[in-house]
Amino acid sequence: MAYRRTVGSDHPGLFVFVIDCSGSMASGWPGDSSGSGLKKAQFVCTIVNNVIREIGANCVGSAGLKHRCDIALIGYEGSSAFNLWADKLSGRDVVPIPEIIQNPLGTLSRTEQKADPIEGVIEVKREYNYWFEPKAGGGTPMGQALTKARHIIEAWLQHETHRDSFPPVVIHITDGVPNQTERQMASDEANAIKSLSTSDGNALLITIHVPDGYGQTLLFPLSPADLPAGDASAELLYQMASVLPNELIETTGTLNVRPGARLMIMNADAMAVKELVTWGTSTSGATRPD
Amino acid sequence: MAAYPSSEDYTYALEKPAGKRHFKSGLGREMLDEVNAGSIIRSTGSKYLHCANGNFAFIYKCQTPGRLLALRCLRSAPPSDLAERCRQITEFRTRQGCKYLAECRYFDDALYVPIGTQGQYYPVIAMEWVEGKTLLAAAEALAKTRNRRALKNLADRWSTMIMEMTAHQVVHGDLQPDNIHVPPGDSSLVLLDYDTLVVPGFTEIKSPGLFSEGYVHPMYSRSGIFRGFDPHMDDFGAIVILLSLRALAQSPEFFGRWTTQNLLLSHHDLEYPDQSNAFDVLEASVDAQVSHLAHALRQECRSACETGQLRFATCARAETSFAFVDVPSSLAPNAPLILTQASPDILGIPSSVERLANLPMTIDSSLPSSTIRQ
Repeated sequence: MAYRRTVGSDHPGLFVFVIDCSGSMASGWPGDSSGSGLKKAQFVCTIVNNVIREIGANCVGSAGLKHRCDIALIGYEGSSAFNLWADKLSGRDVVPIPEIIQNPLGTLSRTEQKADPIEGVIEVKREYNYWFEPKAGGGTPMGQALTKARHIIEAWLQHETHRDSFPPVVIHITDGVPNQTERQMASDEANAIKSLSTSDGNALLITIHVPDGYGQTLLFPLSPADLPAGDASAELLYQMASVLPNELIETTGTLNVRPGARLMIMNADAMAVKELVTWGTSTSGATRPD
Repeated sequence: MAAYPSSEDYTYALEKPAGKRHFKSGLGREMLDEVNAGSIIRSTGSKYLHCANGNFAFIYKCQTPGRLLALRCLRSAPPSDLAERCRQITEFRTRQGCKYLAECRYFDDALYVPIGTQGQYYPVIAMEWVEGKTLLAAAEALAKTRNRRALKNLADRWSTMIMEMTAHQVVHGDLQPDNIHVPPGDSSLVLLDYDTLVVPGFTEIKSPGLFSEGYVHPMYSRSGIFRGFDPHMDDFGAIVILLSLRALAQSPEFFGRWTTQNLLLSHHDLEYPDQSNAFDVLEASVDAQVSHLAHALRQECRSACETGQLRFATCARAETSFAFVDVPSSLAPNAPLILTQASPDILGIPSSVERLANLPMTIDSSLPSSTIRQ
């Protein structure tokens, strides 16, 4: 039976975030009525930083932070893919979670509304550590980014302690479509990644398309017939995404993924994006489902 | 089901200054007032306010004006029997004078925690804080200083606690070294994390199944099947830990050799016993107890992997009481099993622990009734 392992220091998990940093990610989130003016790049950055913090919270043990998983953070724009870790972690492919938590890039102060039993709702200032900043530049070298992800996973799988780990989980977040060359490369690399495995199953590739404001929302398509006709972007992401393994059906909860569906969402709202990112890390016990 | 707070939500509620946290106090809830008046102690080296997290709760350490308390803040809705189970655990502890149990109080609607602009009161469990280290940390420290005598003492204390639990019919449900505290001195080890612990009177637990890798029977860990309540669900973990401590007492350098997560054996050793270098080494130990335990455990793992049969559970389904019996050093290395039946009169008497430990016995699980042969 596959996908039954939970992350642990004898068999750490690997999460690979692959994040589109192309120019279009600098635009606002379509339909965002909060007035916050949050850009897509910023929003994705917040979601991933939050999930890193939460993974860390789950590694707290009586003797300090436990090395229960490793994280890779890959960005892509212009003509290359690169590590998004900065400052002390700069240039690293894969970083153990205790080291990540101990070395944030900075602290962000946020004003939040909080329920209060006496005063109703109050505004409070809270501080959060973060590890990378939003970035939005030129093109969409998606194929190169996935090549980098594959190399990272292949190297990681070489370690004996990873032979029984929950298989690597790749969470790919994009809002764009690469050119024809990159598209073919991305497709080939996605297949190569999905064929990598531990004794606990094949690597999972989750594709999240953040909205461009035009397309229809598409959640976890079951077959190509569910895709909008002639949508090359949808076809690519569908083909890249893993099929939900039967063993994980019960973990999907409110995501409502049908058996056999692809782990892919398109033009979904921010909450759906957050939920799927959280699910991607909760299946192996690195976080808790929402 | 309503969402439960994250560690950040709980931290927001608890990092308020003393006296300003929103606890619902009242008659019989003085322990909550104590927590409110105290300060939450951040662990050194951690960026988080909670000092540990378990399957069901984030654990905060609180220095109250009079003592240290552990506050367990739940990660999801508690099983419906948790409040009653906590009440019975505390009552049982007082009645029986169980030193291996800590005071434990469940409070419904205890702490107001906002999740964004929505907030409500959530239950918490307050427990006395047991000074000392977890069993894993204690064993590591002793192994690194090559303190064989103290490791042997730890193994004996482990054995004593397990036999007392057996005599009391107390089942923990998730025995693993992070759930055991080692107080300074020679006093009893103390169990932590009572989310699945039952005292006599409970025949089932309404909690999800637990799989602490490295301490769970390979039949469960390989299949991922929830084992449900079983009065002998602690046996496998108890034996793994006993073997680990006995082996470390003999050879402290084994610490960290085969696992970075557990005391001695990795999940891989238990699930693939024939590929295990650890079992090869332990079976060849000059210490008869270690080699016997290793042999018996390896056989158990092997047979579970081959046949899918669970011998310990089969034993547990029998009507007669069973006792966990430590293996005396006089035992031949090829004696067959660790678990065996014991007569109720031995089980019922507290001093039986010593008697059992001192009996020069051999054990044979194939015998249907009285299986302790002197």
